[in-house]
Amino acid sequence: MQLSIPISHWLTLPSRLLVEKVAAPSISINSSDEVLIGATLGGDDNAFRILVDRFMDEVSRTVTGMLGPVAEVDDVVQEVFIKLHRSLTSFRGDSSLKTFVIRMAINKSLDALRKRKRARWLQPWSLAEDQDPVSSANSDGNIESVERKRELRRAIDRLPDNQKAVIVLRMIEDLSTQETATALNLPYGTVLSRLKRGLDRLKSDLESSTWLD
Amino acid sequence: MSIAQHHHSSEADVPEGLSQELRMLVHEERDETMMSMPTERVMRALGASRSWKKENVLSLELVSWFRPVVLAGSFVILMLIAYNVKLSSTNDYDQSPTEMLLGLPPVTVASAYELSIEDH
Repeated sequence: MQLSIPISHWLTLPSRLLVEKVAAPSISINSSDEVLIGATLGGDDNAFRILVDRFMDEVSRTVTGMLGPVAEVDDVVQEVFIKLHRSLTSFRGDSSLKTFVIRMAINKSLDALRKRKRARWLQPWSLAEDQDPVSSANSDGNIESVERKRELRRAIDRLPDNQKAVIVLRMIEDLSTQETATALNLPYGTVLSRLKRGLDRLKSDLESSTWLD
Repeated sequence: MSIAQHHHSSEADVPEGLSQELRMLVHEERDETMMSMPTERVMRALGASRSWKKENVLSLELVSWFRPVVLAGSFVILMLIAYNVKLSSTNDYDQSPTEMLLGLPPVTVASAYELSIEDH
């Protein structure tokens, strides 16, 4: 009987394994999400660093949109990425990684808003009321423009949390209605109705109608 | 406005002017709020959370082991309380339910002074 695999194959196996390990797909900023997830799960911190860099803009915009310009934005953004690192094993790829990350950013922001409400309820006279939504860093800028931004931020903050999430994803993150529905785990119709109600409320809250198309 | 943009904004009648205003506002707010080098800070926080986990692995393991014990203990205590309450409501004797359950003689002020000294 003849061996189907030559002995030389077994003799060279260790060196070939070594070569294959070295020749494993190298990580770069152009690597796909799947490759970076695989490398991160294999313990490569650089791969995760690239993922953080890739989604930092989306996460920071989403969290800022939800919470406003407050110091806790930084902490919430960090929490989102730490949670992402822990949850990568459970990522099955049903939706894109971007949608997965944005869903985490929304959930963490909602948690932070709940905590804020609880703190306000416990301390009605707390400093939270004194926070200025738009910082005074623009004092040398156009007063009218600063006032407009302040009004806009107040209008966003007055929205119920579920409508705010839809407005942030649909209008600020520029996701489609379907992507928003996937990110928030909601039916398409619910997203449309929340968007409409949120927009109506924003419009009625904003004093100047010249902002709207 | 590109065709794609137009299609996108008309999908659910999103006013493009308001969208632009919101995007600009959030951009400015984010730049004012976020500290520099956010990625580095995330990686540092990740390292810190990992080392915390490593240092506390024993206590976390102990907590996970004792969780069922605590649950079972709480359940037993609740059952005993319920039993005690039920027995108290139907008890016509001078003894407390605990004394009855353990078969102890009733302890009163009078019985405390009635010392029975037996000669052996």
